[in-house]
Amino acid sequence: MSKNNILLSINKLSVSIDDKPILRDLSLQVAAGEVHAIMGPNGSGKSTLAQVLAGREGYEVSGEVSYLGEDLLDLSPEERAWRGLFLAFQYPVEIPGVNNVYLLKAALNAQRKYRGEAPLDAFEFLTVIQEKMKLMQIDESFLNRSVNAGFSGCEKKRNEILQMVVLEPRLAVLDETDSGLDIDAMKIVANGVNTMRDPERAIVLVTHYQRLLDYIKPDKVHVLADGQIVRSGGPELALKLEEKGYDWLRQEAVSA
Amino acid sequence: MSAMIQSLQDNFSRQPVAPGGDYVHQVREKAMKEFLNTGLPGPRDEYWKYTRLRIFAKRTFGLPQENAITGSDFGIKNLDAIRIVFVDGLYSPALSDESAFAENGIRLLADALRDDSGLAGGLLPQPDPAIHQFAALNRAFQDQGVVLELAAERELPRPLYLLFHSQKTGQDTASHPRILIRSGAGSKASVIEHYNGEEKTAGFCNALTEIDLASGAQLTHYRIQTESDTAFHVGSLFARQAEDSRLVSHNLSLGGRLARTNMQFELMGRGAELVLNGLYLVSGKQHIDNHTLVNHRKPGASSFQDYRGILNDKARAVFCGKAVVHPDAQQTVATQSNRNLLLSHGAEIDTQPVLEIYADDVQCSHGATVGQLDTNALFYLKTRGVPEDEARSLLTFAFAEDVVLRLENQTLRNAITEHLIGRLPEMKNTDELVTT
Ligand SMILES: Nc1ncnc2c1ncn2[C@@H]1O[C@H](COP(=O)(O)OP(=O)(O)OP(=O)(O)O)[C@@H](O)[C@H]1O
Ligand SMILES: [Mg+2]
Repeated sequence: MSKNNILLSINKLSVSIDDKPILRDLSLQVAAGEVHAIMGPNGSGKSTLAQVLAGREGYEVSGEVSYLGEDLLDLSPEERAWRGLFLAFQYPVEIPGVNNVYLLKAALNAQRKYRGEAPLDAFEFLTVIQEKMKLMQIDESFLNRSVNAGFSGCEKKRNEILQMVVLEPRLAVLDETDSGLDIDAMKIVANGVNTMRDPERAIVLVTHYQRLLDYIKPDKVHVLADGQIVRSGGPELALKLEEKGYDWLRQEAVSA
Repeated sequence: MSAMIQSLQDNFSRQPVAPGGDYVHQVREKAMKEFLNTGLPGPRDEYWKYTRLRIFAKRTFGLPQENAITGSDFGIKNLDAIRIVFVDGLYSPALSDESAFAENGIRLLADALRDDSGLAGGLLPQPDPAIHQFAALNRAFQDQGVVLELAAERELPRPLYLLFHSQKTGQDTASHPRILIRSGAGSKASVIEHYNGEEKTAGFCNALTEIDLASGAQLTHYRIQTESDTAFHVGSLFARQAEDSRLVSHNLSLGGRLARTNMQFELMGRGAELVLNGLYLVSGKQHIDNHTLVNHRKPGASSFQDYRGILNDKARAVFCGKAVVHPDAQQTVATQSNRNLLLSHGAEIDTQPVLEIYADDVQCSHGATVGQLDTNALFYLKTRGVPEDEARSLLTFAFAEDVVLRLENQTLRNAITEHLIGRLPEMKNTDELVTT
């Protein structure tokens, strides 16, 4: 793996809230073209990692994170978004009064502006969005609703992926986007994610279920426990976890 | 005696002869005495606990004067309405749709007083001048204003738009517009009162509205106050509703250095319904105070109140909403909600939702909240590339939106949306993100 292929490089990242450590000395490299899966028990710090990458405030953070050669921790959340970082939230936020489709348009045009491209006008944008909505099998009525307001759990997750396929990020972090989806919906979401696979892009999937990985084949699988990556491997690691659970790793860690 | 009272007294002695002759003259004299007996509210006045008039008590205000009119398109543009315009406190025939008056039961107050001097006492029992001194003061100066009398089953074909506009070329005057609305049984109307001031106008507007709805009458009433942030505004509104009548009151208090509204509603019959929809937006050093009182006097009426406030900078707002369910008023439904959004640490809100219930078979609820912008929503928008300032404006607008969406008149709704967008500086790029 050549160095300039690395999109995201996390080096000894420690994160705590009110002096309570959540991530401890975590390191992770993600290269362009790769899909990484992060698994791990509830409360192990997966969402915290995702949120810190997206720029949420309120944590004490140490260590280094570089993204596309820049110090990521130095950028505001919006600056990260303009540079093509995208987080699909585990719990997407309801924002009554803010229009779903216009938020998408503003998001897309903010990125384009950063890249020095002309903004899409309403018509051009509509063409883009209609194609993506077909891909995600989302109904048109969706366009005029407020962001996530009154959406079912499944609709919220699909909306996150719709945003992703419209924004075409360089690095997408998907935090449990598969949770709460039935099998059909999961296939649609997986399909959306797979269309994003590209030698220039990388995807980090946080998931509890091996099943998603049947549809989205990861290059690497990591296990996050107690704020640390305790094991990394290939897709076979996910299968083993499915079979044996996390206790197997814990016991190994103790006996080692 | 304060400078303000002095100047009002001086105005009183110099004001034009009462339209409608001796009787009106006597009503004015008596009202002025009542006003002077009570005087300006002071620190010990419980209805004015959070609103002090000090800065205005020191000021003087003259009588309205005929000024050159500097524009022809004052107020809300493209509103399909019967327009009646008052400029710097005086009726402007050139800007008003006089030809539509007679057929729609509309008269200027002065003409109505000449026809029927009995109107000088108003349409409703007079409120206690010890509490409502500004209503008495309005009565003492009555001259400018409008009377709408709708016969039974009549429907006003277009909204009545009453614009009270202050030009920046005008003087600091005290004006006392008076609006009387009598809706016959089963009639239907929409009335928009708009108090508007150009920048830096610093007059005193003391408006009064009386509304009397007969059984089954329907009225949508808008009170839009966009005075300049150097002006002083007091608005009193008294309404009485018979059975099955419906009153929707939209109260948008957006302007003024100091603005106070007192609104009082008497629900006098079964099936009467009252909707109170309010929004106040204060910034800079503005102070806006809204007092509402709903009296459920008879069984089976309902009232629904939702007032929202947005406070920025060092501004202050007061909300005091009281609903009283009298012993007779079984099967009352009364809800009351006051939500406030504080955008800065320097801003301050005093909110007092009060329910007094003297009947047992009722459905009542009330609540008030004071909060800040939702940090989760803010973060979410930022992760989508919306800059911090824009995200804040967007969420602020979204907070006000429910109230704005209730405005039935679309032209008006757009105008208010535009006003809000203008007041939230970062909204300019994001106005299409909102769902109106
Ligand atoms: N704002 C916060 N304040 C205090 N503790 C927090 C906060 N956010 C997260 N934590 C704690 O940090 C730990 C890690 O939480 P996190 O949400 O990152 O876990 P997770 O791996 O995503 O879990 P899950 O699989 O349930 O989604 C938990 O113990 C959680 O309670
Ligand atoms: Mg999580």
